[in-house]
Amino acid sequence: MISEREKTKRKVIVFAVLAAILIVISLIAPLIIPNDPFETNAALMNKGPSEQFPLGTDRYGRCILSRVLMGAKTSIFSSFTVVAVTFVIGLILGLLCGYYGGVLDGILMRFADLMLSFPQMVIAIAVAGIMGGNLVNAMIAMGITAWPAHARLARSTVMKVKEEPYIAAAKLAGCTDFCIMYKYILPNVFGPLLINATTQIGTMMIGIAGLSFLGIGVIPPTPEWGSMINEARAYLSLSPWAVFVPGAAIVITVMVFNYFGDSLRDYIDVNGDSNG
Amino acid sequence: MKKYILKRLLQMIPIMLGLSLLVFCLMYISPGDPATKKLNAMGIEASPEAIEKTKEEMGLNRPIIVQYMSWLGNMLKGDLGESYHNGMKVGELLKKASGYTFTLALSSLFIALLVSVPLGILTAVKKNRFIDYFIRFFSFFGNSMPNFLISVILMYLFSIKIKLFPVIADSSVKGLFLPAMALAIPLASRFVRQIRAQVLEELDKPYVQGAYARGVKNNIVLYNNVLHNCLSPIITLVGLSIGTLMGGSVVVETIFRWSGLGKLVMDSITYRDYPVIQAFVIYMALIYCVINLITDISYHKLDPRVKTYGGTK
Repeated sequence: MISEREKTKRKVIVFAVLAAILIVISLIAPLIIPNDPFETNAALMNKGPSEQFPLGTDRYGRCILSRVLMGAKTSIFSSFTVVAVTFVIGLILGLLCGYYGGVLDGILMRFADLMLSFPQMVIAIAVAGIMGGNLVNAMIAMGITAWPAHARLARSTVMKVKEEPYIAAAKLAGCTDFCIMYKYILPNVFGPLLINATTQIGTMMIGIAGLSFLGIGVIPPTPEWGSMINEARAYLSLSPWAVFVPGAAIVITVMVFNYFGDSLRDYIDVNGDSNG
Repeated sequence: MKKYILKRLLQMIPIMLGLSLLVFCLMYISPGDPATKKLNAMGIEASPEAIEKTKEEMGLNRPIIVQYMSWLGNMLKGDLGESYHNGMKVGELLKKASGYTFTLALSSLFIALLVSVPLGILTAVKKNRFIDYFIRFFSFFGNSMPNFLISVILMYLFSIKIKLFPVIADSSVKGLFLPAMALAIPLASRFVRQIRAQVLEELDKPYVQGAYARGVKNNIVLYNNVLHNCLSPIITLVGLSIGTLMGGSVVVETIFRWSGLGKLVMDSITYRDYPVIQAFVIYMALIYCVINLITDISYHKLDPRVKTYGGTK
């Protein structure tokens, strides 16, 4: 009988490997696609799976497999970028606010509260809709609503750590503020915040795909899963595979990243290192 | 209690003011100037004279702070402006669409609770058995599925394969079913996991062990004590899910052409009908804040142990 801890550890490894495979696929997509994802073919519209097109064609006769593989890069990297950028912004603002407090803290945290008091997707839809649809605007729209959660978590952790005796000791020893934050506070904040960020990747993917589906994200013909489903849904009865293939891609990717985030959090919690 | 409610209502004022400023600014960070946008939305060619005239009409030549104040003043008086697209009062448009959205949201909440409460309890009682893993897998699956995908799959299964429900939702019960299901599935998936966790936590408490030790039947403990104590967390769950429901309803309404607020805002985005978009965001935020407040109040009412009326900001 293996211990609970060992079990969680194995889960983390399995899902880390799966997530890594997905990332590698998205990176080498241009090399492994069977057809040109942009090439239309009037003779082969809405065709089922064949030798030339393993997962069929869409209404313009484009290869669905190639488009889904290319779309992986858009989906995975856009959500990674938004999570990473909001993570860094949240971390820095949280560190500064938690450490210095004062007016800056007051203003920034009120602003964070403001952003957190509204439904994320509603704000994202309004921002992306008003700024006009493209991938960068969709990412900004998602990012605007995503940073406050990181900042709040970082701030509360910093405020807890700040009272520790070793911080006072470091101050007495003549460390600069920057040195204290970087050397003694950051390591404490980084872990819980990183786990939080990992669990957000899946949500972010769904959000960006949702904006693209609504036509206020990625602009066609750039392959992206959400916009592919939107383009194909009018032909649902003719070529259902054009909806279900990108759909399956989203579900599998989101599930892998969600499981990875959850198992990572469980693993850290089991280790008793749950000061987050 | 009254003091608490009043305090919360007062706290909402700066938040709503902040949001109104944000929404007002959105209009200005968007590409193009508002007068041209209005003319384009109305389908009039934007000649320099027409732009100048519209600018004067809209009061765009005033300093921006004056514009904001007058806009805010109108909002407070209940005048949400007129749609650029069809000249209708924005307030009327919102009112008409709200009914549809509320019906949809309430039905999906109802379905979600109807399914998830029994399943959540079942998975907790049968922890680590087959049925637990089975339901949990599905709930994880449902949670990883975007609303738009569920909608399209439901449409494929029930409208195209077996022609049971209409593709375009009319306002009948039959038309309501698919969009409500599309919203309810991810919601129920999340509820099951959270209710399971809540029941498990409650089952672990000493009083449950004590009751078992005194020979009280399992079911009596479960139904009389455990569920009673899980009620207020479940209410909180419902309150917290409103935000997701609002975002999801935009997608689902667009797909099923359900003429609620979500479809209204997507149409307005297409027509660049800014007053409607602005009013939509403010309206949604207001509802969201009020529902959060109601959730908190019922939380206090249901659980007498929660006595932090003053709250820590």
